Amino acid sequence: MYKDTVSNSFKLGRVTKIIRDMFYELDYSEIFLPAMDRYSPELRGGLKTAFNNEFYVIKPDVTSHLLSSIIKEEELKVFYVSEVLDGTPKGKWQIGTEWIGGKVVLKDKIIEQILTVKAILKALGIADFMIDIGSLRKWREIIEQYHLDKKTVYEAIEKRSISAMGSMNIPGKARGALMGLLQKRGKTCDDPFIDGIIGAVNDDCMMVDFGTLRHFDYYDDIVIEIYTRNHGKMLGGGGQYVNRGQDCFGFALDLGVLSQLASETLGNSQEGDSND
Amino acid sequence: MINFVLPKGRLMKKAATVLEKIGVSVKEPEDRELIVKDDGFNWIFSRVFDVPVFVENGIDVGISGSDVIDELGADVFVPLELPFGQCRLSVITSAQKDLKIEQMTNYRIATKFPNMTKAFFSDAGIEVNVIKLHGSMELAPKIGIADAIVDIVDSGNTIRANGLKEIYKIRDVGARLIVNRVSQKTKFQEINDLVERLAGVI
Repeated sequence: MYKDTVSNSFKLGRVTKIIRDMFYELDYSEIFLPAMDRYSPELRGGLKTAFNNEFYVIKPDVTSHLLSSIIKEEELKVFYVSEVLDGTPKGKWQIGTEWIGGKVVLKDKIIEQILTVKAILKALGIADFMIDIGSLRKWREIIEQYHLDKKTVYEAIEKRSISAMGSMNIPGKARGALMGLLQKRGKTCDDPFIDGIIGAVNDDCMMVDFGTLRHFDYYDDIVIEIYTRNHGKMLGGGGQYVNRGQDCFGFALDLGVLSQLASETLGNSQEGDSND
Repeated sequence: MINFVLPKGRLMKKAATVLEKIGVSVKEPEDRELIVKDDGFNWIFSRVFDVPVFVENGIDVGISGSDVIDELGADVFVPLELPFGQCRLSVITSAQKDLKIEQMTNYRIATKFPNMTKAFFSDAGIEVNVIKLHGSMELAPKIGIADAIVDIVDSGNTIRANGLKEIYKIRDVGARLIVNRVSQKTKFQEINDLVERLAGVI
């Protein structure tokens, strides 16, 4: 049995309330997805199980769960609070958004959501955070140009494996292009779309890092990772994807990490939750 | 300053030899010291199974066996395969038995690596009972608490000396350099420099 879930809940609750209030103010609607759903190959993460000769996934990745539940083309600007399991009974609590479809152009969706991340972290008193932006399109361009195996390349990049890249049977130019992109990190990148996002956010916390590659294969191009030098784990991340031909962007924050970092500013005790 | 965690024991000595080649000398702990500060590094010495846990949770860099990284499913970068610690994870049974993997349904398998063992037999479509042990694997079949073991095999001398034999290699194992995902960003130049220098001598 897990210990101390009650006091952990108080910590998560304080942080969640602040973020939830901000999302409501920004016109996001809260969604509640079932903890368990019938297995589908589209569902990522979660714990697979069987019941009455049917296969299910418990607490899967929320974006893939939401996308598999949508039955018509419509604009959705939603947020959720959910525990997500990592293939084992071990999970982490996340709060996140998904902005699907609608008339707002993709670039503006991404900018608004990055500004929302910044506002959340500032409201929680978390300073010195960074937001890295990467691009799967840049990797696809190299893969297509040199006819490389996408799965092999992505596996190597996700682990930043120099050894795996070195042992790939590919032309030297292709290897050089892959290594060059992996090491590309800076304030700008000569890509108008990405530089435009960074310019619009206009904050020193933004950084281009093409080594940023998120785990889920539904991402289409822009991905972000949020972190601080004051914690060894990512605060969160997100990315751009396409659903029914509509541009979408979403991000998720790790409530466990946020509650650890915010505990100094918000206080550790239960006193803050009093209605007095 | 790079925080670098090394596993105590055989791997540490070999890691120190490779690091020596790029001019980094590992200051070994005296007595019961667990952290040693020296020349731009904080050296941390831990149990083999804890190295990926340390790195996943914020220590910048470490050296660990791929068996431990895979068993724990550690969410870390793995930039380099290092040229030492090569061995294999194998299924081992009594030397007297002439057995194939397919015949092991309902076998009791003792191992330090329950996650990889379950995954291997599950992928092979064979149901087995996995018993987690922390050491002295060879004892398990001898005293009858397991029908087979899954363990690391190097030369094979230990298993032969205990009347056992290797019947199937699950995967090759070796030492790896591992890097914390956040440190890779916050100490980009220092870590890239370390990785490049190491890549140049292995």
